[in-house]
Amino acid sequence: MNLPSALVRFDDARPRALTIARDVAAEGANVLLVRDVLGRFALIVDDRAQDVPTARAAVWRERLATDLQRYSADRPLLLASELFSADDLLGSERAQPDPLHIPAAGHGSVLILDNTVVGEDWAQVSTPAVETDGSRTHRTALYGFKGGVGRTTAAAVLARHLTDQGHIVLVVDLDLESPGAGPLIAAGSVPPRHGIVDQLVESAVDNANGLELVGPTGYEPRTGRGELWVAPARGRDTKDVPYSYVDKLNRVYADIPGMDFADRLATAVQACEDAVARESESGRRPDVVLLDSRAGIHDIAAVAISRLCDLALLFGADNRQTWGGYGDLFTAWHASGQARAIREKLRMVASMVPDTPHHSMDDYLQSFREHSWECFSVLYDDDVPEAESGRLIPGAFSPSLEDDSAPHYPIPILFEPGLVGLDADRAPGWQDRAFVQAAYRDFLTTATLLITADPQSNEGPR
Amino acid sequence: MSGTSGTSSGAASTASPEHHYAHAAVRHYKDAVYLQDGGRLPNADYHFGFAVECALKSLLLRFTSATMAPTGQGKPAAKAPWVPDPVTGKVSRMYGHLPWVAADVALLTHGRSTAQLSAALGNLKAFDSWSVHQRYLDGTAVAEADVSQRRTVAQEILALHEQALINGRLQ
Repeated sequence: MNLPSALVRFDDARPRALTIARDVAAEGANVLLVRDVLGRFALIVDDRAQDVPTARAAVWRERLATDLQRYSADRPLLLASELFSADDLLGSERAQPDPLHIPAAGHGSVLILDNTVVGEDWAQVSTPAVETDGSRTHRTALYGFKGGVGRTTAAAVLARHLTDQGHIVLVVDLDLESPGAGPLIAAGSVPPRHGIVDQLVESAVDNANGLELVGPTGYEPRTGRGELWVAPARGRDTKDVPYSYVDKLNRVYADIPGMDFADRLATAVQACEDAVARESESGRRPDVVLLDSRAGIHDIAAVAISRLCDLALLFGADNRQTWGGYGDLFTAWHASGQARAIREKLRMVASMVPDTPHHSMDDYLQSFREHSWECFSVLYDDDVPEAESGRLIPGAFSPSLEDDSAPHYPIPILFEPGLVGLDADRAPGWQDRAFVQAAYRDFLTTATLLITADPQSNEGPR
Repeated sequence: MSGTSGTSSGAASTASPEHHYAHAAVRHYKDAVYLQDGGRLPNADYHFGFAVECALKSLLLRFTSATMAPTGQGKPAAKAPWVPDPVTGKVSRMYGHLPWVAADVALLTHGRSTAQLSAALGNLKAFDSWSVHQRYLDGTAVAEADVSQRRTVAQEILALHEQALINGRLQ
């Protein structure tokens, strides 16, 4: 069978649809471009204040169908005056302004509403609010685009270090599909009866009261005041009732009336923090929370990074898959207009740094830094002068390669083969070994500074 | 991860039952509004019921395991959406005329984004006293307050249906 020479594919459709949307807006009406879950576009024209001639609508409808081919919706052009739910659609919180469209005088505006099956939380960046009592919980997400880069081990080392500094620390294991932080950090202590998955399923049926979500780890800090708590993903087995982890996990992503998954996960983390205040002898809330997020482009990571944390440590090794993955993620943030908001939170961690006679740490980090800078440049402002004025954009955020406070500048952790696949139950005191201390020294110093400094305040994004 | 079953499985062709149900729903609703505004309550009420029934049948066929396939070998196409029993393949539930038990419909929904549908179905009880047999009756049993309430519920369900068609998902 002969295919037409120019089949429209998924990636072709969006720019074409936006071009049409902008052309229609240029004739005066506000428009909303909706992409459905299969990637097909429909254009809603707000004709409620100003009639659209039937002939114009027919021309636009035909153009959408022709230019978008399979990616035009069954009804590619919709007039707001004929819809039941025009206000819901045109006023949707999820609709974003077209980032590249500056309407001229007399032109309408262009909004985009993107419907996906998963992953919408990547495009909803916000910062946690101050607690009701005025205190602030510093929430740090630890994330790796790929698994196996030492993220959970680093969370365990960092948690103890912060406890030694006198903080009330809570580690929440959000790696629900492959829990690890719970067992690693609680090694040697009795885990709590319930886990995050229990909170998620029980709260959906209004039954979350009385859950035992957090446990003390038994860690005794070097100074007297610190406490280390853990909220595992999975609860404890009991003799009388089997613990059905998979059956629960398969239900945690449900949206329930009035609460989507992101709201539910936020509530679950909050419930764990409240539980520490309730169960701790000191009665204090945790002031530092570490969220061990699962790897990959997944909704848990999306919620943890975009919404729950004020700092996200991004782990990676200097290889093609790391930069390819982060590149895709940064591109998506940029496309959804979130670059300014998200770069405030990010910091790169080089988590598998070699240091051998043949491969020095400095050489490795130099290469890492260059690749990281290239990758992060998607989120940085252009440092080219404005065409009209010849001046740089005022307040532009465009850090240099060597700026050691910039998001792309890696915090190093030395690679330690002895820690790969560690069984914490059989290696008590592993964190106190000299080689471990050496591997994490820079990371602990820098991460502690970032976590305990005043989190980004109301100064707005840089 | 799961979550794909809350979305439509693709384009409905113009010959498909869900296409016809979707368009019939809007027609019944508009005619019902026309009749109610003209004071013709019994038939307005009748058409509000059909509007809701058609919109829900359109949603069932798009977003759940309901089907219009023949209910058995050698049988003609089904007259209403039905749900096959997962074990026997036989009809476990047939969706004919309203009133329906909202809980029956809710049982069909699985996947992530079923909250909206569940919420809309909660209002279906406004049609508990509605019957297709009204068309044979003298019309005195139809109360104005009931018709107004059913119009509101029908409007909500048709709005949900419309958004589901535009967005491709129930949210």
